[in-house]
Amino acid sequence: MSDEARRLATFIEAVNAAGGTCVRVPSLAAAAEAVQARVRAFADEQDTPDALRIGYSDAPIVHDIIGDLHADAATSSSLHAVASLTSDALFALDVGITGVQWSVAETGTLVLSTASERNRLLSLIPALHIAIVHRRDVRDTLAQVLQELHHPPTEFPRHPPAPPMRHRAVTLITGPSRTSDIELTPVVGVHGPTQLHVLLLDDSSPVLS
Amino acid sequence: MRDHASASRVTMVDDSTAPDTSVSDAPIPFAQDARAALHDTQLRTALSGLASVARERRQLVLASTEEWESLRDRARAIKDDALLHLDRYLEQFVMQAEAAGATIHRAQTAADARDIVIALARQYDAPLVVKSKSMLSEELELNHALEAEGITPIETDLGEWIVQLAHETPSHIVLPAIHKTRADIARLFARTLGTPDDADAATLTRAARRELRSAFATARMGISGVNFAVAETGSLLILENEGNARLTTSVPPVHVALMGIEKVIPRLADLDVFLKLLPRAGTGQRLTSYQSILTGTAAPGEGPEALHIVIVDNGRSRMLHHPLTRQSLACIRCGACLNVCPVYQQVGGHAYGSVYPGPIGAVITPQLTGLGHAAQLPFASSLCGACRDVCPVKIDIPALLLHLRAQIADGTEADHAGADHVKADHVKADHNDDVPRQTAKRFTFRLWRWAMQFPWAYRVATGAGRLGQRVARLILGPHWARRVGRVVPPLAQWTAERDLRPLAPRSFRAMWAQSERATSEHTTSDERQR
Repeated sequence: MSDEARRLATFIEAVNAAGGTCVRVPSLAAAAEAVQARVRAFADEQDTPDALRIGYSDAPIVHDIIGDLHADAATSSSLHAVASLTSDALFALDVGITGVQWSVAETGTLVLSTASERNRLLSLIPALHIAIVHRRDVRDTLAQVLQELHHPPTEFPRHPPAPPMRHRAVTLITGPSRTSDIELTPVVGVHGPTQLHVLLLDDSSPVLS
Repeated sequence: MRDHASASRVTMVDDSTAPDTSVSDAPIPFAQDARAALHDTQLRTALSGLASVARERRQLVLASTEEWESLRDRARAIKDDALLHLDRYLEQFVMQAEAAGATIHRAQTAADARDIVIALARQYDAPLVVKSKSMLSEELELNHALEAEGITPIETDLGEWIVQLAHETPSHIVLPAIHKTRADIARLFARTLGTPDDADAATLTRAARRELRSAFATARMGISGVNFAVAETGSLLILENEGNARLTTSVPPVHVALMGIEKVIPRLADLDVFLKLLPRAGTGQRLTSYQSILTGTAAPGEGPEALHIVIVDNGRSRMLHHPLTRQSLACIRCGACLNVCPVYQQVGGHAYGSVYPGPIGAVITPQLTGLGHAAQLPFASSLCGACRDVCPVKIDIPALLLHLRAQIADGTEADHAGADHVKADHVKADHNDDVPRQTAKRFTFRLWRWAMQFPWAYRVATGAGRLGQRVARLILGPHWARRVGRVVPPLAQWTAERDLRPLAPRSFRAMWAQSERATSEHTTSDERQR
């Protein structure tokens, strides 16, 4: 097994261990199908038969997949671009679809930055978060990601201050939202998503974004 | 805004049963409250799971991280460096955070910090604020101050919210509602939210999610704590599992972050170490569900328009002066020392009468509020050292407890520790020992020290003890050790809280000498036979 194959296998295993689910998809078309399947399964779990409201981010990779979703009439759900969503509309969403800037194989962690995508609330408010990870963005350890977030390290107070980090809001996500505040009983799904579904895009095509 | 009715339901808490939680200067009556806690069967039930959870977590930590010990050393080295050069790192943090768009406020005292937050809530016209878990906010008694100004704070961490609904205070650093059973919480929710009387943990959690969503959508200000503040980037790091800290720091248009001066670490790369240690020590996870790394203000629509960081001293800088007390500030508030502490496991957090309970609380509280206020807390420990063994940043809690005990016993509070709060005589007078009792104790220990220096004196003393023991058994019967306090009054003060350990009937030396004699007799008879 190559280093990369081992890294991706570790990542998938770690996402599952953290309480999320992860599938490998070979192409954008396959990713769209996987999104469709996951949304349908989620719709079936709901008590209310209302159409699902799906919000999606402005990442190019998400955009390409959404294009394929539009063509499918079978999903009785509405799609909303993040730019069109007011705060109230965000709170009414059932599903959020975002890209991921990096991920960590060791812990199954997704690293989302607002520097290149509007993903902060879409990955938090809806009950189901579908995240699309490109295999080239998977790293072995968190230390590697921290290094890419900010380098080179700056020393003691500088005058004038070093230019601020480009990544203003970085969110590390490992599994769904959880608590054990009541008698130490683990419960999944408190304030954030109840379900986290990761699509690992195993696409060798040239860089999209 | 959605769902106004349910937003107001959250805020309509019945104030008639609220206990008075205003700042009190009266000494914390630990001994009395601990005794009451020991008789509280409901509390004991609620705490019963803690010991086994602590054990499981310990095993998980040891099994999953070979490098645990070296991680602890690295974390402590980073903290030591940060605390030793705190002035410069704080300056760097402030400069970088301002460059990224944050506004910095400095608060010397709790009152200063409260005033700053109240002024911000007024400035941004926020009658309702959502809060994520912050021990500093508890230390500042911020909720009380906000309510007094007509501002409604809503705690959104599930445990904190439970405690707020019940008009109580948190009893654990990471598990605020550990003192309540599921049944307690189900009854509380049934009364306030109308959930079933016997709802399970999952149902209660869902109810909390539903109720608090509307508060998030309505609030114009979110107040959070801070786990780490990175000097080189001006970033704040907040760890959590529930997602409420993410909501608090991203949905309302204004984010106010409260941090103690000791939260600063030098580099972003240092987070790697702390993100490995804190979740494992705190909740037994490899990583909590969420970490937010927030640097200044984000792009429009992707977070608050304004970030205000309130940097609070409130007694912390006093601890910086001495290397021994300085390590108290290395604490990352994981709560591991509470979980393993045999005292905490029995009495829970409220008996400590302080925001910070358990071993670390017994160390921090007297230093923050003055020895006179918390003179009993350093004695609330058997010095077993379990806290030191689990501490992810290797704080020598027993050494600190002894240091504080010595100050209390001598009635000499060092100048650097809370001198502006208490005078030395107060320290002595407020401790649970009265003066004659202290004198008697001191005399006994001096006698003991003298006897230990001379073998003959030791032999005479233990010989006399054995004789006395035999006489006591003759007069008082087999349970003499328990009864002796009633017969010899001064001893009762010692035996009231301790068992009197009887001396072995014969000393080791006596037994050794006898066995030597027996061996030599045996050998001589063998020789005779030959």
